[in-house]
Amino acid sequence: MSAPVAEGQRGADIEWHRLDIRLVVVALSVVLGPLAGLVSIVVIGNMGGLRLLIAAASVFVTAMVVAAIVLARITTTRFRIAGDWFEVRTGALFRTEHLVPLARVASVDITRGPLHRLAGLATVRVGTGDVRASTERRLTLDGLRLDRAQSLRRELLERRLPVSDAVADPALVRLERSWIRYAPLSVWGVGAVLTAAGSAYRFLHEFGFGLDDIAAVLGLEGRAGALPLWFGVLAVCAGLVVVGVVLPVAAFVENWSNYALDRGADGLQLRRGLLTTRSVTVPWAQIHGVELVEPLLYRAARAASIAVIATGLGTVEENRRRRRLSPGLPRPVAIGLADEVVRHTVAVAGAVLTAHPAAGAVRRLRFGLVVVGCAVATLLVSGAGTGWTALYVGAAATAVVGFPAVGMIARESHRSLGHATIGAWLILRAGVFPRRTIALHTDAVIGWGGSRSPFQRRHGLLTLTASTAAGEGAYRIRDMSEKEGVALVHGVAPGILKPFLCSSER
Amino acid sequence: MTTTVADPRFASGAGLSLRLPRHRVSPRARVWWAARVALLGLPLPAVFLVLALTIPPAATVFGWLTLGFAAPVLVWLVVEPVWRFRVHRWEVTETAVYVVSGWLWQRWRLVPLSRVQSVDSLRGPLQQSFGLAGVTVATAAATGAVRITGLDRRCASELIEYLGATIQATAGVSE
Repeated sequence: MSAPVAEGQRGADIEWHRLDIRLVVVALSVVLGPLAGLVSIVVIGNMGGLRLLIAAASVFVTAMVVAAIVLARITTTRFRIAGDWFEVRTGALFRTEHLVPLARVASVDITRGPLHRLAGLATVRVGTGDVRASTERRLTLDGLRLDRAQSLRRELLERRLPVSDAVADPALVRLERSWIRYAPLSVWGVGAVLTAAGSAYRFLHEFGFGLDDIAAVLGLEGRAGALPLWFGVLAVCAGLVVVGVVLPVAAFVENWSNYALDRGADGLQLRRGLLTTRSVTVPWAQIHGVELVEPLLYRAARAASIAVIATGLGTVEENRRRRRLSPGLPRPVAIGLADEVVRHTVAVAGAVLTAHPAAGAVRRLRFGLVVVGCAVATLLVSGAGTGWTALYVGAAATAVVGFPAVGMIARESHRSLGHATIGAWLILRAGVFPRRTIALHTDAVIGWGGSRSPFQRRHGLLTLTASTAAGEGAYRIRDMSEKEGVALVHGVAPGILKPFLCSSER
Repeated sequence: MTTTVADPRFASGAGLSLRLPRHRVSPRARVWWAARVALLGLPLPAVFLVLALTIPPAATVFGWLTLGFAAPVLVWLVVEPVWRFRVHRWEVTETAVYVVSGWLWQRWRLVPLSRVQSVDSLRGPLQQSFGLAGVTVATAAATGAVRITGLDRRCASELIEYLGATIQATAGVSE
């Protein structure tokens, strides 16, 4: 591999490329939100004078600062491919030069937000398998023209991988509109609304517009007192439900439109997105397993989604965001896809899993009972202290609902536990919200560990941890029998374990 | 991946159990652990004691509070270091690092040397004041670092040298 091209040897044919000037326009979009809020307040209400002036001035100053920062970034960021190296130079005061050998380039993603698309720009993220966040940031080039971004990706990937024949039938799955019915089964829709409302309120509060002003603007002042309580509660609940359905569906449309998963020669290719389009390739060499994810509500609808367990997707947080390979799918489709990801070397969902000892169920049940018990006790004590009957009612309700719920959850949680080793694959399953079935190739396991709480020691249980560079970094088989745990490691990696086994057995 | 055939004695899996690692940590580690507990747990009872002494009218209340918070800490102060010293063990062979640690919650970690990426020394201020040091063995896994703490300083530096030399030699060789 040739040495990186030094500053003085830069040839005329190896030119530096820069970011595009239209990035400034895209970056200014960050002030659109506050600007819109300000405009609406001026139009709807009659807020005037000094407060408005200050708000408008701060929005203007923010815009200027943002434009200056982006201009600085554009003028000081340069990149090129020279020889066997990918070079990126950034910074004005603190110059940083980042050199990546092309052989280490793990993945190249292209992302385009809605404003990027309007401006004809794209964001390229080059992954090197380095888990440090700072490296990921430096190798993210935001604001390239689309054709430049695509040719960069082609050059980076083709020089790294040997050219192989195209796969006969690359297409694995395409989006089907009917899958939108699984979108509302996610419970995060309501949370998202509350978060957005909270952020909007906080922003307005900064400029001195309190709840009274907002209520006056919306004309609610006089009327709120006249409505009966049950109507208000019902309206709020109905509102939450509607929003909890509309928001996830909108998120589904945004995230999974044009969804396509292909089996390419270099790896799995995922395309998705409506406003922000994402195009990700995960090379086969970096795929070490697959995960079948079944949240509680999905299970009721016989649906599941899959995620890939791979290296080279960035830090652990980045990995969590980027490893998802599908929206909610009908379970048979998801299982077929999972088998494709592991190239049919193991049946991910069809494996017969060893159940875990019953003591694990007892452990979960005890934990749940303690939690609910504490909640009930707290309510009772505070009821005794303050004398409100509402607290006694609350305690009774918590007990009536909580204890059976805890029992069911403990039972489900224990029933979903299971593990197996099939050939070179380790399959483990755990969880209620959601239930995950993980197939991990044992070659990717770097080290083994086990942990035991006092309860586990008394009952001969063990939580076995397989640490790996892929995916989460550590995958746990909880509450398995201790002897089986050692036997499992022995079966998978007899070489490492042998020196540490008791020599007096059998 | 090794192609060693599993030892037929253990093929059924029923008779398997891990033995303990060979080496203990330095006996001075017990003092270090006790100091750690004291730093964590004693300030609060000490504050109550001071308050009890300086505010005579509330002496009984603060006296009981002091006792209530100090008694479990004193028990903890005696129990944790002794228990930890019994549990903490480590062993480094030519092929792997094997460490057991903890007291209430106990864990063992096993990492083959061929997958180790770097070896560092751990020198917290409290550890150092007792002449102790630790060793961190890092792998490619984000959370996969194995730590051996409470070693005598000389022992730790010898171990780091040994590990450094061995991982150079075995780099890239699969176990």
